[in-house]
Amino acid sequence: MKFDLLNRFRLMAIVAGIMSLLLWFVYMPVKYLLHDESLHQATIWIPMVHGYLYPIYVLFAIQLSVSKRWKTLNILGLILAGTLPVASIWAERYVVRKYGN
Amino acid sequence: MKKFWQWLATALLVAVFLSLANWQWNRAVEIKRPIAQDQSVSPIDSLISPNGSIEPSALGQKVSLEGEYISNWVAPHQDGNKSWAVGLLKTRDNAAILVVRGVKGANELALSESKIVGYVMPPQSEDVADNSGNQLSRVDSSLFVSKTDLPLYAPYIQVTSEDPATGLEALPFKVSSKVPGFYWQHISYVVIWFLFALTAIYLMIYQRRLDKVEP
Repeated sequence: MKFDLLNRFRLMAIVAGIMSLLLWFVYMPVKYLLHDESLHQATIWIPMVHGYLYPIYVLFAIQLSVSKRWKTLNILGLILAGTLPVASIWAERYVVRKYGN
Repeated sequence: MKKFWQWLATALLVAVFLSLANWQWNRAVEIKRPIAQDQSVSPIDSLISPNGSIEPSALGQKVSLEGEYISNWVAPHQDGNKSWAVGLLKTRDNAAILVVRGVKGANELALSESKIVGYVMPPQSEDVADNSGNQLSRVDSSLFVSKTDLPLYAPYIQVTSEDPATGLEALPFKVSSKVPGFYWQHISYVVIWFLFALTAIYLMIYQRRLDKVEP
């Protein structure tokens, strides 16, 4: 499999999607519902890893969408998809359907 | 006119993103800043309040407070495997604060009224023992949320003098922990907000180019 523009975006979309799922459904409940400091310490890597991977997703999303001459609002939607659980995975499926692989 | 509004919206977005980046940067800097020791004594309510957030500037300040101890606790494995005598003090404003009274001795401390001078210290965040009986896993008022109805102060007080005197060995002032938070997490948010600011500018330029090609 070539590590071209499309595949770079696909990889980061899946990774960002998994990290968003962990962030929303593991880290957030631990921090805001359980109030358990030891669990909080054990899961603090999740927002940190998400925080460093999301910018890479954004760069690849911009690179792909600009190369395909997307409208600005669609590009914004693609960028924001990385912040919501499942949305970036849905975006990955969308670009595969649109541009094939 | 359309161009003007587009640039104005972009400028506002960039300003918001940069201010958020700056806010996260300041949080990261606060975490790295060591706690300064201050010898002037202020009343506790002039620096911190129950159920309030921890102001980094209050940490390391010397405060005075009065109240009545309502329970005694032991925090083991502290500072070279010593056990600290810890009291939960009901303050004059009907709140509760943890007070580290000194190195635990053989004598049992009475639950009595007390006048205290001590340093405001950040709550510990890592467990060093089990929570069992009158033993605390760490010095942190969040462990008392289900144990008392009183509003709790987040920081604890490290006693320098107490009236009546307890005879306990006082603890040296030591920077044992910093402001709660995680340095690299805040730095990652700085990166994200800067990237968003750059993205806003780039997309604005991109949109202008699209408008020229497809008016």
